[in-house]
Amino acid sequence: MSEARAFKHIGQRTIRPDGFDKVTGKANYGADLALPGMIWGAILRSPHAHANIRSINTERAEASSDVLAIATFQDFPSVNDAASAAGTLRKDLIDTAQNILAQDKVLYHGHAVAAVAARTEAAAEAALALIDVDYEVLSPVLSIDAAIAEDAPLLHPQLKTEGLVEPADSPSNIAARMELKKGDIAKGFAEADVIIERSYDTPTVHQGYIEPHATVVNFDHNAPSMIWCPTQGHFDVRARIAQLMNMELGQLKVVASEIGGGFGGKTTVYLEPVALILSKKAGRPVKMVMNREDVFRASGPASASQSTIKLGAKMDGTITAMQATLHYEAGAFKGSPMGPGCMTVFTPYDVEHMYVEGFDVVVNKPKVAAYRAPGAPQSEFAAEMAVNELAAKIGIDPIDLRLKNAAREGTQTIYGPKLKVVGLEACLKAAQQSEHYQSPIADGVGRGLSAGFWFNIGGQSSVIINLNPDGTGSIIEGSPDIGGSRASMQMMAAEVLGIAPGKLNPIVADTEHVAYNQTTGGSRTTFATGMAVIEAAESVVSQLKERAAALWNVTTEQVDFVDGVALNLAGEDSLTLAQICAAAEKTGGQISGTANINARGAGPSFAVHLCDIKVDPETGKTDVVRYTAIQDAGKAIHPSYVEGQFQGGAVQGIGWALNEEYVYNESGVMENAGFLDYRIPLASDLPAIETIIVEVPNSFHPFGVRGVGETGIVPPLAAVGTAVADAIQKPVSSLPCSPPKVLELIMAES
Amino acid sequence: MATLKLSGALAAMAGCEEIEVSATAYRGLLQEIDSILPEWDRAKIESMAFVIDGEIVDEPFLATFERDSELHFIEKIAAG
Repeated sequence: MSEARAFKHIGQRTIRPDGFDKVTGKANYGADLALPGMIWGAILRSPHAHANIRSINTERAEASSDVLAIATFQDFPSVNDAASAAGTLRKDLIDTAQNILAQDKVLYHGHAVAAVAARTEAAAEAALALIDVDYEVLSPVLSIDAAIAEDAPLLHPQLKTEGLVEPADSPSNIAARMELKKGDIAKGFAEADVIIERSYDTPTVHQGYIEPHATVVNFDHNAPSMIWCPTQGHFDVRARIAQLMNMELGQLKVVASEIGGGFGGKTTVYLEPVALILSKKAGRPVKMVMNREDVFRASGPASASQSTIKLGAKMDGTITAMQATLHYEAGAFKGSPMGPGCMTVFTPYDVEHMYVEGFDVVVNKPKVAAYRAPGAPQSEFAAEMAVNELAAKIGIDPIDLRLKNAAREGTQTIYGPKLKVVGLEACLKAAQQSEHYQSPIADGVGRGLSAGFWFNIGGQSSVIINLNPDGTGSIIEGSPDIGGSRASMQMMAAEVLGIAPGKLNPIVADTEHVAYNQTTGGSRTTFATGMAVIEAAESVVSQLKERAAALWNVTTEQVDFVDGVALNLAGEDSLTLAQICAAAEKTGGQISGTANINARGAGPSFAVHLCDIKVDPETGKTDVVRYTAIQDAGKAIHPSYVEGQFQGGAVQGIGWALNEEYVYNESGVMENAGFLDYRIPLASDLPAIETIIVEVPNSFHPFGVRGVGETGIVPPLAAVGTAVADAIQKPVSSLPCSPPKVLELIMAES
Repeated sequence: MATLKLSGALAAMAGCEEIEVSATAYRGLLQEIDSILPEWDRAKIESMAFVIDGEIVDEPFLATFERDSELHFIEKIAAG
């Protein structure tokens, strides 16, 4: 699709089909399920950030009459010694298992060591005290600097850096290195009139989903074992557990409960395999629920980062060279989003000479997980801060500087491919023309802006559309709805079928009732599952035409289908979709369309954010007084939910920039593991986030969709950082801009 | 001839930043590169996404391309 087209339902603001259940409390989340005979599981967590486990003695717990099962690492059949000896293990699988239950070493405070299942929740918690663990405490490694120091304690004595030009000959805490280059970076700097080089850092932050991790598992020897959990991808939960437990996929049935926020943090498994082990041992269904402290201490946050950016430019604003060195904390096991961080850092720019080097660093913190556009907010924060400083130094409006160097169709990205049609220039122009950018800046207020980029992805989706005899129907999909996708699926199907969206009931089915669907994430669902919905609906339309042709005794070619009505081109007859469905029994039976696709052609997305911040010079407290998010959606299927994604990304990014951070003491214990002390923005903290939807259609999607969930969290960090810097007239290099840090900057000035 | 563009570790391993290939399908491309660069890590390559003229293909096993296409291997993008 390359040009605007008229839609009937796409672009409307329909009522979300899951809204009533969610606001009335009827919807069932992870902790809401109770099964007959169900018992409770609890996790024993490490009191140390770094320690060897000398022994785990469970005898006292086993003797308790309330305890029905105990689990340790040794209960993972796929990663035990025999499998290891056979050489069949994948390192990432071992890491996953060791993160779920520590093997012989704990690598962060709160690391799970053992689990019990008991008759009641209280009994399970009490029984944890009956497990005796003997630790040899080691020095914790809590920062990138500490981890890469020459004499740093090693988290994994066998870990050697991958991606070096010459293979590493000794272990270190650097798990991987990535290098990307384009052109000749030395030549680019030689051509520059102005060069700036700055270093930046960002903290460990959490996705802040309101619903904690929870699961109910019922092991069954004779039928698929049922796993109920809030997840962004129940098919991938099934696959991961099958690997860990040496089970066949058909032995597991995963049901995605409603999900109270994920943002990337619910794309992995923590409790589910443990509950399965406990359920198998106890012969009873097992429920496990993390409390908020567990979520902070032991689920996956976003990486802390350190970045150095070097830019070169001519005085006319032509950027000649962009260079970055990026370090990402992976947490306890390798696998930070360093790769996408490197790939995205300079993508908003069409610059001839670029060089990026990235490092994946393990530290004694929880293993990181995805968080909206994983890796991009950290690196693009650094790049965009530096670009804003460059604009100020040259004396060019920061939007003009970006427009002069903006990535556009044909731009060669540093990670390889040339961009197709993209909407960065449209976003920059929309920002420049916005009432916000045109408005004067009040005294004591600073203004910042930033661009941001995320790839968006496609992948596998499967959909079934069934029509009932009265013309209503169901859309059976396998993509958990974390952002309003049920409504989007309704609207896309309705657009093709020519009926009201409310006639179709969208259902997120379990792993047994719909074919494979890749995890909801990467801004893929409205794009990829939407393509499957469109394809399934088109199949239904073909069948409707065949059935109408049969009723009229004409050929299918003599039937047109327009706006939900079949037209007999050989006569003047017409039949509504409902009338054709009513006659389905005599024309061949059920009308049903399916689609199983592996979607290609995800459309990259750019955004530009504007931020005005007032800073109290006495306290360093910041107040966001105005904020505008501008983003290319390709095509906004449901504008309200697109705006909601823009606003959600902006608010989470504002929190990341202003207040959120994991605070650790010297022993590696997180000191603010609760929402009272880990300060996410509240509605009362922020103004209404203004939005501007830019629509530059993705030519690979029938309706032009790009995906909108990720990109919106990328620009806020630099937009906020620049606004604070502008307000206090001091450079900002470290997030969050919390009151003590801002006050320190102000005091340094005086 | 299609052009396979190489970057990062792949370019370092190959000692060049692009290779002309006669293949017009992903599987043929892999076989062709096997013969040109026998030391490359094919398993690693097969775990990567493939880009055909700017279109990212996560599972390229059956992918085909034009004789003048520009091709890339890139890391698969994680979900957030």
